[in-house]
Amino acid sequence: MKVTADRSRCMAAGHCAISAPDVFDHGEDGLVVVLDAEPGEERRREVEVAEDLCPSRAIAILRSGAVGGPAEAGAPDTVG
Amino acid sequence: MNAPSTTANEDLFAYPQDRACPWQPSPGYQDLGRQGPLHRVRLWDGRWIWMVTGHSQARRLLADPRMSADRSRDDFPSVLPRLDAPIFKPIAIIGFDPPVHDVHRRLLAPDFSLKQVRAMRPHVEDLARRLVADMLREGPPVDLVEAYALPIPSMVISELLGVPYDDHEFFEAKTVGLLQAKSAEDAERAGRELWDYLDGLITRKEHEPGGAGVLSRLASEVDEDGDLTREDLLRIALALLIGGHDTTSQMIALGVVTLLEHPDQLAALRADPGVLPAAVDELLRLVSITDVSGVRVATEDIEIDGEVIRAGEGVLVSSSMTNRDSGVFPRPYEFDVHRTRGGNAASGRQHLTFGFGIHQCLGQNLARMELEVAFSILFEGIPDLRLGVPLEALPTRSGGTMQGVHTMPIEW
Ligand code: HEM
Ligand code: SF4
Repeated sequence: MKVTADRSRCMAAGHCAISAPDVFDHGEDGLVVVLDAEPGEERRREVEVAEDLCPSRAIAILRSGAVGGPAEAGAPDTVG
Repeated sequence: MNAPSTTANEDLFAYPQDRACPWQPSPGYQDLGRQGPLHRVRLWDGRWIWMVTGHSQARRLLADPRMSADRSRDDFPSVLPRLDAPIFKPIAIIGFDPPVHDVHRRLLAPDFSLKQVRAMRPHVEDLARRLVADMLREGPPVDLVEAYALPIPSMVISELLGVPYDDHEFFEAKTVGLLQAKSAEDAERAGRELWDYLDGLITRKEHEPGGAGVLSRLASEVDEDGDLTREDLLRIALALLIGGHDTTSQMIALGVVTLLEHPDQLAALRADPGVLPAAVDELLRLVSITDVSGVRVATEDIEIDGEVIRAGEGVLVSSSMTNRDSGVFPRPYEFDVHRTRGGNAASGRQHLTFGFGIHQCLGQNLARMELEVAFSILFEGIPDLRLGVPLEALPTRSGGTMQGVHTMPIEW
C-alpha cells in the first residue's frame, strides 16, 4: 500500500503519529512527516485509522489503481 | 435566509438547555438526537440555526471549506449574548478562515506538538504531586477546582506562553468573567481588561527580547507588513490564554465527578494504568465539556442528507450528541473505559470533543497529557477521595454551553 501526507493541509493534530507510529512522525515544525511511504499490508488497519482521524484530510492511502482520497472529503476539491 | 424572530421560529426547540446530569447532554438534546441528525433550533435573539447531532454529518460539515468560521461576518450566528461582544468578533485562529487561519496555526504548531507535550510531562507530574501534597496537608474538605483542577492547566499555560503565574487570580477571574458573562457588555469589559494586561506584558517582552515562552518568541517575529502583526499577536495571546485553562480545568473537575460516580470504572482504571489514555478519551467523549464542537456559517448552499443548508445559514455541531451517535459508539450513554479494547492506540479518538476539520483543537495533545497526569496522580495520592456534597448539590454552571462547576468540595 502507498500512503501520502499533504503537509500543506496538515494542522499538526498528531493523530497519525499515534495511530501508526512506524509510518508517520512529526518534524520540528510540528507537521506530519512520512517515515514509510510503502508500509506492508500488516499496517493497513492502523494507517486507515490515521486516514480516518486526520481532521484536515491530509492523509491518503493510494489504493491500487485509482487514487482514492479520504472517504469523507465531503467537499469539492477546491481547497487551496 | 434566516429571518429574525418570526412566529415560525418560536415553535422551534430553544437552544441552549442545561444538563440534568453533569456528564450527560440535556434531556431535550437527547430527544432531538432520536429524531435524526439535523435540526433547526432557536437562539436567544430569535434567529434559528441548524443543530447537528449526527457524527458523520458533523464531520462532513466541519471539514467542508464552504463552512466559514469567520466571526466578523454579519451572518455569523451568535449562540449566546456574550458572543456579540466586539472582542470576540475577530478572535484569533478559531475565528478565522484560511489563509490567515493556517498561517497563524502553523506558527504555533511546534509549541503544541506531541513531542513538545511529551517533554513537558515530567514537569506537570511534579506540579500535580505538589498540589496533592498541599491538599493532604490542609486536610478535608477542599475545593478541588481551586486547589487542583484550575492550578494545573493555569500554571501550564502561563509557563508555556510566558505569562507570570503570579497574575493567575487576575487572568482566571477575567477569563471566567468573559466566558460566563450573561451579556455582551460584561464580556467586553472582562475581555478588555485581559487585552490591556496582555498588551502591557507584550510591551515588556518587546523591551526584553529572548525571554522564555511562546509570546516572547512571537514578539520577536512581529512584522506589521507580514504574517504576524502586533494586533494578531495580542489576539493569539488572548485566545491561547482563555482557551488553555478553563476548558481543561472543568474537564478535570467533571472527569473526577464522573469517575467517582462510576466506581467500577475507576477500579478498572486503577487495576491497569495502561488504560489511562483510553479512559481519558472516553471521559472526553462522555463529558463533552464544551458541549459544542464548532459553530459555522455556510457560504454556499450545501446539500446534506436530503436537506439543503442555504448560504448564510448558521450551523452548530453538538459534541455531546455527536459523541452519542450509536452508529459510531455502541451503548453511547454508558461510560466504559474499555470501549476501544483491542482497537488501535488512537481508536478512542473518534469523538468530536475537540472538533473536526482544520479548527480541531490546537491544544488537544496538551489537554490529554494534563488530564492523564491529573487523574492518575490525584487517585494515587488520595485513594479514598469522595465528593463532599451529594451529586445533586454540586453548584453546576447554567445558561451557557460550556459545562462546569463553580466549586467542588471533596473529602477523604
Ligand atoms: C479539555 C480541554 C479542551 C477542549 C474540550 C477543547 C475544545 C476545543 C474545540 C471543540 C475546538 C474547535 C472549535 C471550532 O472548531 O470552532 C478547539 C479549538 C481550539 N483550542 Fe481547544 N479545547 C481544550 C483545550 C485547549 C487547550 C489546553 C488549548 C491551549 C491553548 C486550546 C486551544 C485551542 C485553540 C487555539 C483552538 C483553535 C484551533 C483552530 O481554530 O485551528 N484548547 N478546542
Ligand atoms: S493527523 Fe493529519 S493533521 Fe494531524 S498531524 Fe497527522 S497529517 Fe497532520
